Amino acid sequence: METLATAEPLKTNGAPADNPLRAGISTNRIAEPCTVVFFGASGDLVKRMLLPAIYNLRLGDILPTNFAIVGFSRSDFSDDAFRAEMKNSIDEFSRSGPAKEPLWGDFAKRVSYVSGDFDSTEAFAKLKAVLERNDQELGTGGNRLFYLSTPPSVFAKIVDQLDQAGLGPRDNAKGWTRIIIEKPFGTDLESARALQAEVGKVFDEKMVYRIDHYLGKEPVQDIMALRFANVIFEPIWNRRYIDCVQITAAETVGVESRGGYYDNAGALRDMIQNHVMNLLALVAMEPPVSADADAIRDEKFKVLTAVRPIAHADVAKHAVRGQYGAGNIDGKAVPAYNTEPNVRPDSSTETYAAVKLYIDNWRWAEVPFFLRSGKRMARKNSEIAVRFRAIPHRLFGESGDQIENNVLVMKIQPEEGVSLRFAAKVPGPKMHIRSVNMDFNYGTGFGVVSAPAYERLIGDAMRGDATLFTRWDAVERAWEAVMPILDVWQGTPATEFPNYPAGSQGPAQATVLLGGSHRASETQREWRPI
Amino acid sequence: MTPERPAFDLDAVRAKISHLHHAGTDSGANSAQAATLNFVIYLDATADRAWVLERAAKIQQKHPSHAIVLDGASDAAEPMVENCAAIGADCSSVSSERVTFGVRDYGAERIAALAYAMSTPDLPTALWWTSTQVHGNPAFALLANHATNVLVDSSGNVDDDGTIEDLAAYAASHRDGTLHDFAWLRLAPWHDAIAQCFDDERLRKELFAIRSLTIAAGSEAEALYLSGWMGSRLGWTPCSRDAYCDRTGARIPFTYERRGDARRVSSVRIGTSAAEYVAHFEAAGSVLRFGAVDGSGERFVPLHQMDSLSLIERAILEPTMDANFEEALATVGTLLRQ
Repeated sequence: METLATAEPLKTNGAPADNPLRAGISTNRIAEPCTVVFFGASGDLVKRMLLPAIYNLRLGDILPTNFAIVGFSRSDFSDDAFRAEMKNSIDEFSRSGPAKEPLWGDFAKRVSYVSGDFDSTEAFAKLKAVLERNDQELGTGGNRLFYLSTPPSVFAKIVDQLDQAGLGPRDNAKGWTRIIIEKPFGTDLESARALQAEVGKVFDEKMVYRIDHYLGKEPVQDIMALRFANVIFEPIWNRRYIDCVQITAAETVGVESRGGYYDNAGALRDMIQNHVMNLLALVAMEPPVSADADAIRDEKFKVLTAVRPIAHADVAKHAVRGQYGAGNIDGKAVPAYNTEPNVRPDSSTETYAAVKLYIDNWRWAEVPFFLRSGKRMARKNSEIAVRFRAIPHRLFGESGDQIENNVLVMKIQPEEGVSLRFAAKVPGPKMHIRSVNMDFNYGTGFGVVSAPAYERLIGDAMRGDATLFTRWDAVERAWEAVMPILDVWQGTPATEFPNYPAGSQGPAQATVLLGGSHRASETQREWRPI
Repeated sequence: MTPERPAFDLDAVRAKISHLHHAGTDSGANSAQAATLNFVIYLDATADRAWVLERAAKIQQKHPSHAIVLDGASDAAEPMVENCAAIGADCSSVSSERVTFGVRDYGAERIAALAYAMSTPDLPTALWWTSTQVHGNPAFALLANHATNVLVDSSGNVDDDGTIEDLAAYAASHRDGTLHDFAWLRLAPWHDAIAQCFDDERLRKELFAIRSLTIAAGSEAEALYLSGWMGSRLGWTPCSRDAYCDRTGARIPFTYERRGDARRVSSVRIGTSAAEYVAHFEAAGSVLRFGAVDGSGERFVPLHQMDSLSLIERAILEPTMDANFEEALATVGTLLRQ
């Protein structure tokens, strides 16, 4: 039988080939055609971060030409009114400045809005019609990305409604269905497991993108590059050479307009359980076998599994909480936490948490990891400081010279870069030793401004790259690690609050956690100044 | 016959460089000097000199390097040795210097020998060939043989197609070399933009029914490369000097129209058996409009023109040759030999 020649190569199953023009393009970053649905579209996060991010993805040529945006919330907007809201958001908050024609005009044509309650079957039926229309008219190919930027209390409801409306993955044979879920994923271990059970009924784990915007920050991604793209660090990245690790996420802001939410959350839930534990996993995990998302997330899960459980009776030795009182930030007087709007005057909610954890494996046995996060601190500063052990024998240094431990600092915000502190000889005839810093700064080192984390992460979810998103097993382990502390703190109202003034280094009691080193030769540990 | 110019005193040049380095450390600055690159720059147009040296200096600020400038428009008897201050770098921490040789009337072998002698062993060598004459210039081949990375610009030359034909032959015979062409690098946003227009499954089949290709550009190299890229991606073979044939043997006439600014593509017109599509600039070149000529299925793609500095940086640092470029160059080379 004669075979007819065809210009079009076919896949073995007879389906049309992938786009051959895409092959080998070095900047192969463009997502597949899809519709992105923002639940909670009238909220602050969508307005300030997500809508500007998605527009900048368009400017950055990461959104495909066949895309659509759908806003969904209770607010009563028409399509045009939502477009106008979106344009205002972009004009005000986009890093690229106000929306520009003709791109905005083309962009706006692809934006629509569905108004309704999250428990309204009609609203979800309307959403389905909009998505099908987009597939027909805008060529979005049946691919859907749902972004849950809503209060956590409605996550499960939205997932269920999507399923009921036939918008879940099992009803979408034509394309892919993914869901991004904002933090916090649950308010404790039990609620997180309950939420996961609901999400898992509809979405396979590979379709779920639990977002932690910290992971989208360039310096956080650089942790892996620093560790696994250099040969000089990994051989000393262990208990033989490292004395302790300090992970800090300090903010100068208070609770702003989030008093109602924050007073039921606190620093442990809001920061330590997710952002800070994710940083711990990145800094402590074993080298993954590849850069594949699951290879990396496997290692993160394993190291979180090795975190030593804290007995309820030992919580006081492992954790310190604090709440800010009135004080000054940048010379400006700020009120005490318990006088902030929507905060109970007798609140026991911690605005500062410091935790000491150990990782029980060969690499990290008996190396303490000190985690801390606080609001209204002296300075905004997020960093990971790896403090190396002291030199075993002192050769140099005049009397009075102190030979400090080497410290490698991975700076996350506001500065982005890496700094290594090491000893050097002071020029002159005597052998004076002084510590100096060797700094690398992203801005000057590469001459580029990092894209905001949300841009990176939304783009990744659209491309199906889950590397920077948190897998359920890691979320569960992180909750397990902090639950004893939460239990004890919830069961014991704080009597000493407020115990640090706004604009300070945090409560003095936190120093107790550092203790001395278990090694007699080591110098005294101190918290890194904020 | 012009008498051969005397050789430069390279020992004196090296002594001057050494003196500059010591002067940097004597100033008391904490000097941790390191260079990462031999950066050989060949130029032969006085009008371009300032532009080329400014960009080379910016590269050197970021990548400490030994720059060897071979100035084919100058016959200065003495080489000029400049330290890092001349390129705007901080001499206390950056080990970059620039040595300029006037090589007008120098033979190709002597130019290549000069570059080789002044290069630091064990460092990679990048050659930035800024001359508009690649085709038939023996110095190019000799300098390129000595380089790990070679950057040329085949666009806007007197003889774009001759240059590309030469490059194709060079690339075919130097498989271990890393060749980059500005004309190709500048097309990256067009590759992205055209590729994503065919991500739409409804349009995908049209890619395999193309019956004509017309590219308007200010210079021929870009048009040739863009056609070569499409041809190599879609399995076309050149079947005459002005046409490709697809896998079924159907003829696809390729037309180049000179229009617009040099080194810029103005529009791409793709005719299929069912429709005709055109992609062209909107909004002062920042957006590509793509759609059928009857106005249906119109879409916009942001077009990111990369600045020349980023392109130079990419070219001198990329450790391997872009496989797409290699294939497109080979395809165009075959087309030009028809």
